[in-house]
Amino acid sequence: MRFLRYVPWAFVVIGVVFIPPLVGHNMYYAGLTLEAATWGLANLGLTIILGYTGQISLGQAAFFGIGAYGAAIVAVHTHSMWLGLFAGIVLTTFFGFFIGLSTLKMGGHYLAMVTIGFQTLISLLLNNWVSVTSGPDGIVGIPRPQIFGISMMQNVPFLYFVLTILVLVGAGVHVLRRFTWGRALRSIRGNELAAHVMGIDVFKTKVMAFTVGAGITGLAGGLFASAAMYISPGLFDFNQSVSFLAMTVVGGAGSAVGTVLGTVVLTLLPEVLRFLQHIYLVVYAIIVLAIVLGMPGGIWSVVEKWWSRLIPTTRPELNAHPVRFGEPTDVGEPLLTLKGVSKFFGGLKAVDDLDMTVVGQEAHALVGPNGSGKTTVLNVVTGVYPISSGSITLENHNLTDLPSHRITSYGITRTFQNIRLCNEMTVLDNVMLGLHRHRKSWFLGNMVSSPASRREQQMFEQKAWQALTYVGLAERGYELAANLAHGQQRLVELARALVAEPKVLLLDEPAAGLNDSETASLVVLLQRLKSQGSTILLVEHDMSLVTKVADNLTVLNFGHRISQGPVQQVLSDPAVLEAFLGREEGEEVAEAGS
Amino acid sequence: MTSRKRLLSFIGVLAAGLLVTACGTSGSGGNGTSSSASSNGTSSSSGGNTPYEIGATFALSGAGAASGQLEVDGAQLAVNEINAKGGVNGHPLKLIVEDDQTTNPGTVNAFSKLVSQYPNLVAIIGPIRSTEVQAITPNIEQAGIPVLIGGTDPQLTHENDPWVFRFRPNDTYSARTMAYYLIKKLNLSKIAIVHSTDAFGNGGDTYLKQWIAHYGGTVVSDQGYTNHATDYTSIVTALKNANPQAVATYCTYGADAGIFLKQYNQFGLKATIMGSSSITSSDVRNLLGSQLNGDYGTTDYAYGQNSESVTFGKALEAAYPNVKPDIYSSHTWDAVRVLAHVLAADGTSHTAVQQGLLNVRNFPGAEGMYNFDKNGDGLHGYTVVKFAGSTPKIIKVFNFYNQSSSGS
Amino acid sequence: MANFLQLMVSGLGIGAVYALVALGFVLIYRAANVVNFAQGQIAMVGAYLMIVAAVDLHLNIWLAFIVALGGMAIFGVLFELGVYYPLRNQSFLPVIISTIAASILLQNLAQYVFGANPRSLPALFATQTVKLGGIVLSVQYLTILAVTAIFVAFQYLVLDRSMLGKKMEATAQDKDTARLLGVPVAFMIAFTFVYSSILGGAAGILVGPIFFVMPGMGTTIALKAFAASIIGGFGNTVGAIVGGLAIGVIETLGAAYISEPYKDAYAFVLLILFLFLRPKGIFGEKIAEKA
Repeated sequence: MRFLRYVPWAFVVIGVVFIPPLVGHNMYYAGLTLEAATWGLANLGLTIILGYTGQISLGQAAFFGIGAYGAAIVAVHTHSMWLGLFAGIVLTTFFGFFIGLSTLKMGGHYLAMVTIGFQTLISLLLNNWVSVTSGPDGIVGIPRPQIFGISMMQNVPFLYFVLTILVLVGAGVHVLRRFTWGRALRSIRGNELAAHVMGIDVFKTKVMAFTVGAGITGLAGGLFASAAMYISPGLFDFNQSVSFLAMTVVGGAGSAVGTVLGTVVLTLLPEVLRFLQHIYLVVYAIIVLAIVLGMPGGIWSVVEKWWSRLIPTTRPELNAHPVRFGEPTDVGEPLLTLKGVSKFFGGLKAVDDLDMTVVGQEAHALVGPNGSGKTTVLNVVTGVYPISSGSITLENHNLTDLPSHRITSYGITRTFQNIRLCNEMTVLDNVMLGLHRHRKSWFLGNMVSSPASRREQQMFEQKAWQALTYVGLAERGYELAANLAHGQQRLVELARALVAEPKVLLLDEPAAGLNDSETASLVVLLQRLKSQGSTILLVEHDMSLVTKVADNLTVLNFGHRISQGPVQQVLSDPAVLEAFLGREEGEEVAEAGS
Repeated sequence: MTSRKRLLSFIGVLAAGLLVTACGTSGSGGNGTSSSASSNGTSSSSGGNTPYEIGATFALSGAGAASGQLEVDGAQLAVNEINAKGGVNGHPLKLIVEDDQTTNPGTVNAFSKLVSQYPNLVAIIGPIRSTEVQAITPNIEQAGIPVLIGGTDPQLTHENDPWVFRFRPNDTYSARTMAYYLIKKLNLSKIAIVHSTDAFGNGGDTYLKQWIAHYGGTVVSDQGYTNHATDYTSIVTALKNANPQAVATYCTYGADAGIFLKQYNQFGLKATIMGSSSITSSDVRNLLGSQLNGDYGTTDYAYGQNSESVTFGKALEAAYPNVKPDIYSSHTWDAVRVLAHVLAADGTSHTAVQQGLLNVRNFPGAEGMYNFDKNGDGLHGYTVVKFAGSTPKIIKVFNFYNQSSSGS
Repeated sequence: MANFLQLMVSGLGIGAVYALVALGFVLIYRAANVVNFAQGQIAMVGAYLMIVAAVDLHLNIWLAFIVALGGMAIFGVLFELGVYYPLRNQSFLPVIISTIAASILLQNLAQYVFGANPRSLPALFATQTVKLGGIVLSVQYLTILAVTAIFVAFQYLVLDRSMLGKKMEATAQDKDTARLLGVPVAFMIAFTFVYSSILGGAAGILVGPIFFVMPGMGTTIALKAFAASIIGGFGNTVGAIVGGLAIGVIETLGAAYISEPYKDAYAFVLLILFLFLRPKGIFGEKIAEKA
């Protein structure tokens, strides 16, 4: 069955070799092929922005237009299409960068609106800035490039050229998906907060996605201008952006192949239906509707499902020798120090003037009644909430006011009380996300599948498998995170935190929602971690688990620290007893409700 | 389970569609144009000879769909008439229409589909919107087939394209006619211009300003709007302030002209309106009715401007009861008839048709007398009409054609 | 000054149209978390139903109005069943695409059934304009403002205080909790689609006499209405109304005092500036972030 893996690539190569001579001599077929190919290339930009990163862009046709106009204007003046293509890419990259910056403040439909606004402005400029764009008349006489002295005015060589670029860029976008940066992009789509806490600079990564995505679409625009030899503003209006979006989603936004497939289908479908005369667009819309209703994930998602059944991915052989996780720390030395930490929400003092020290290789538990501010402490430490006052240091690094991804880079990772996994990614990918802080490869390096990227990928995969074995989930690595039971999802989060090799591991209610046997095995796991010298800060209200795992306790009530010290000593503190006795009822209610 | 639900809901959509269809057909009565458009019932009358195929790219969908259907009607009428008389040299004509979707890529696809799938086409009737003609210019050059266009941007035939032939007078003539009539005949020299900001509207604006200056008038306000604008208050207010004696319009879409004129009237402005040909389109007349009373228009087709225009108008109304003759249907009717004349006289090869068209002199069409100049412009004049109620009455027919110097 | 007032009045009139359609956007967004790209086409369907009732069937204009709105209610059910319901458990992307496909379908179906020619729709009142000082008031714009006001009043005085309104609100806030509390969530969403279709249809019927009725009439309105709902803060009904009116006024004034061809840009430029300064819109989102 192994040879089947090469079948898709064989199809692609056969396509590139045979399509140009087959269609090149027929003006209609050649025109449609060029249209589908350049639009497909444009949509690959959308795959990165929308499909991978989950940022909606309804201004993709504006990038396409900027690329096309930039290329056309430069090419007409310099008579060099190469220069034109280059100018088009530079210009769109620039615009993509700026639109990307707007993601700092906006997401979701607000971002959609910014992109629509951008689209509208570009359309109006193309129409009204007559001295540069020739206005509504458009630009005529756009040349095609020459390559090795071969003129591409004929369709056959030009088709070879365009299809080759499409396949190269498509392959780049396709492989990006499995490497470090592709995974980072997809995690932003899957769970932005988790991505941030796992050490991904979400904002920078989004900007990168927009910049590269716009650049690809800009290149497509330049090629489109060269293919059509005439462009006018109407080709780059809002409707075109909407149809780009539809093409990408219908094919399967999350994959390069799906995107190109969707583009081909939606470009050719109306042409195939032309024989229906007056109702062909009605039938076209019905078919698109039927595809979306029947295959919400896109056509390619269905194909992929069949494919993975045909060729199941096999897990690599795992070597069984024991591993340990976490950067070694010195026993008993102060590691994580909180001084006078406060967090206010409006008038509510969630955490008030907390002093706390976690020392090397200890398991420190943070306990207290519901609403006493335990999780808030973790959120402040990991930069999820900005701190109101006080300071946080790790060894001698000041972490106060740093963004989450920087804090992670100093060696703090965490799990979440409400599970934050990327549901549409595999368990393995989710775990590998924890390795992002150890990345060395570059975004563009990933796209060309550089040796460094592949080495890194291999190393990361191996580590992730080790972590999955460690938590006992090695059998489920290729499943989607969403398909796992609640308790297993907690373990995936733990594995994800472990592979990051933290100095301090923060666990936020790891036993919440687990049944007795799951809790028992969790205790074993935590004890093993501890015995291997990990430093753990644990928030938990299951006191039996706490007493089995923790060395030291900090007790919070209404944001105040009411006691701190070795477990047995703290538990006999009268103030603690009072707080805990008062808590009993609330505890039962909370459990009944959950 | 879920797939069954999906199926059910899809049936729901279909039911919705059917419901709407049912309401529509019972409600809108005999909208006979849609069914007859695709007819090619000509094959029955052929005497065994293969038909001469004429391609056409018309807007059957999108923003220009209303005008596209009229173009089909005009062309199909001419084809049917010619076939009823035995065709051209015994060959029937056959019209093959592809939808250009009122977009540039749609036009390119429609055109190249015609060229590629129908190798025996004798000529193609091209778009009426100028940008669409520009979009297919590279393809026309590559295909080497005569294209009979309706776009009126003068540049289209002046770009050294030997295959493009225009079956409507270009905008230098309409601008000249408008300026001349307003300034010299009506003595209205303070003129405001309202135009759409596309190729057609901007072109018209430019030529209009040239000719207004040429005849000694002044442009007191020059207002552009984006196609499909929905509110013209700001333009009307500006016009009110500029206080022109006359307002000249270049609107690409009839419906836009309609909305503008309606608001213009509502605001009680009294300056004389002089519209480009879209004001006389059947759309605007249907929409505004007698609100057009007293307005002027400059058009290439007016019922009664010559004997052919009457013949055409009567035949069209007889064939399509709900359709009024206008510029859209008349230029395609003319194009088919001129083409048939050339096919009969000069042959059917592309070069024969090309040369034949260039040699056409004094061919009477509904739009006027066809005399092709070296650029491929067939018509050289416009007709000024004044609306009495919703009916355009011919005031004066201008013809700038000069046998010795071809072109403007 | 008279000019300015004139422009303001017209701007408010056109803005009220955007507001009505925006209200439909917002209600559906709140109930179903879906941006309905076919909202403009729903307005178009309403206008055509009115043409069928008032022009082709020669019904009395007010009767026709009611019949058309009744038709829109049925249409709303069918739309929900065909376009939203099958995808209710999916992410927003396929739903957006299905509404886009629905918009293409409706536009082309309308063209197939009714033809492409624009048609004129009689206004609810025979008088076209009234003069007030130097200002010309279009009766149709006044009607639109009045109808918008009635819908808003209905929304706040009747709907929001009724059990039905409270259930709609609960559905919008948190579907799972609403379900636990016994709110028939699926029904409430369907009801929202029906109500939004009626709003959209009313908008179409009201602009018909101003714009003319044609298959493509929905596109322009929908884009502006979408912007309006963002300016107001998506998910907020007052915001949608204020946003719609603001866009109407801004573009009319901008067109008059700056440049007409860039008319469509002003609202968006303001919007983008606005979003950078106040990312949650004028009134903020009523729904808490569903993180």
